[in-house]
Amino acid sequence: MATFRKYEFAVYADFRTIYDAEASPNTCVELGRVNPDNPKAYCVDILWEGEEPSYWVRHQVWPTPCGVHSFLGWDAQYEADYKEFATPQSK
Amino acid sequence: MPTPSLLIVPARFKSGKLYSQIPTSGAGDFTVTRATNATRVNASGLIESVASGIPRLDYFASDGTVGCPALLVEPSGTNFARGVELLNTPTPATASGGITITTGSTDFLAPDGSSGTITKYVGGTASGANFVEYVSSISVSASGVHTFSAFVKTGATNPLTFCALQFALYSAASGTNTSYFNLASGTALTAGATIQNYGNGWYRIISAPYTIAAGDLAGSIRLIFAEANNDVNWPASGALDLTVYAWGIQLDAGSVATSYIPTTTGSVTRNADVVSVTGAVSGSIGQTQGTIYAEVDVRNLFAGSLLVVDDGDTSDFIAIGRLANLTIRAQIRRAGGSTTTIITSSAVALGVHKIALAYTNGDYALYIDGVSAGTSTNSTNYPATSLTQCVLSNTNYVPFNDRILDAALYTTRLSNAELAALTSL
Repeated sequence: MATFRKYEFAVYADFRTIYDAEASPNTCVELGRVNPDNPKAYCVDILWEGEEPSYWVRHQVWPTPCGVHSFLGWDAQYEADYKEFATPQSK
Repeated sequence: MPTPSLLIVPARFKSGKLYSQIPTSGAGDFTVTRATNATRVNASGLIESVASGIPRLDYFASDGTVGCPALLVEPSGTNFARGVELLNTPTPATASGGITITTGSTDFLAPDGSSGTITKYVGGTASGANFVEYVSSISVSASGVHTFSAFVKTGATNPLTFCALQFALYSAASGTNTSYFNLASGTALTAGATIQNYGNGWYRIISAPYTIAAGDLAGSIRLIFAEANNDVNWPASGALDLTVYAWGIQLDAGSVATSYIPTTTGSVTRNADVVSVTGAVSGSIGQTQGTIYAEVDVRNLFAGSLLVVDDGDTSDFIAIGRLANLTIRAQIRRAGGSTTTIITSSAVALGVHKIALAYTNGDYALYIDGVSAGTSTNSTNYPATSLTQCVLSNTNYVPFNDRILDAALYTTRLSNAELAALTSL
């Protein structure tokens, strides 16, 4: 089961460091500096072929579904995960 | 003619699997992975969504009627045109005689068969340029070549004859920024632009590729009412009552308008198609000699891999592919060496082609449509390890980005006469 997650890094180099060493199969879409509240931050969306590697969790962000980008057919899953993980009080 | 050791005519499938006709043991059945949905043209000629992991049997035919199904394989793609229909800012304003916009028009069904999802544009009295523009600046994620496309259909009365797609306000960009089309004749008028007939009066108009520069990734895309080819300047009476409908706008990275990717509030990515078979299929792959064959429908000017037999990765392989100038090439690689192009054909025309490469170390022959396209006596780069995988599309090689009608493997190097017979149209 694939996993769709969104990430934000303080600067682009931080993203390159972790991503270039990543071996888990994925599709990464680099969104760039799209957060108006943090214009230096570098944002990416990743569709992992399996589970998200645990060391990526600290870079997760949860914009309101589905932010500025999604993967085709994954909007509903992201929205469900958003309710589960981003706004746990909604459970 | 020998019997192929593997034959795949895309027809039977389930999630994650595309069945080969030969061998019947299942050893030649292809594994299909694509973690996202995607779209295809179905047997009714309508665009429809296909779930992740399902191979896309596409029935699109260029004359607007459905054709035989073919396997559509594409690289990943992103539609940066956020919102299904947001070409909704007219210049000049409607109140000043500009274009009148009706979203959710029910005058016709959309190319996906839905009702109330198309946008209607009716010209006004304003002279000069008349266009509708994306509601806000549209950003792409990286510099490089991009392609803008839209599905359009003229009105039943007062049909608009000429229209154009335009990239605007991307500073430092380069290339042809405005592409013109004749919707009455169904022709693209600008070099590099293309038009595809989707039937029921719908055309997909596709801009010439346009290079967006790194310094400015945000600009606008426009649908223009044109008075004639290379002419957007309307006389005093304007484009009064001329009517066109649009649906499915798309802004792709790259030089190809890929299959439609629906969007809502954000840009959307479709993953690449991965279609390959490994393991027991090695018995169907000629190891010291063999032939690989495919029949393809070439519609895009794109460099991609067509059919590969390899060692499970890219260390050793025998492959046929095409370049963006539509030459067909045969390449081989031996572990520890580099990829070697052994044969490059003359450019082929857009359309259906049958291509076969016969191989044994020191003796290669490429045939296209019944004619020899080149030979090679290369004897230094033949794969050194067992060939254990057959690839129709994966991310180790650039996907073909077009349609594959059938493919076959033989465990012998077919004679040149057999290659000619096999590839005759």
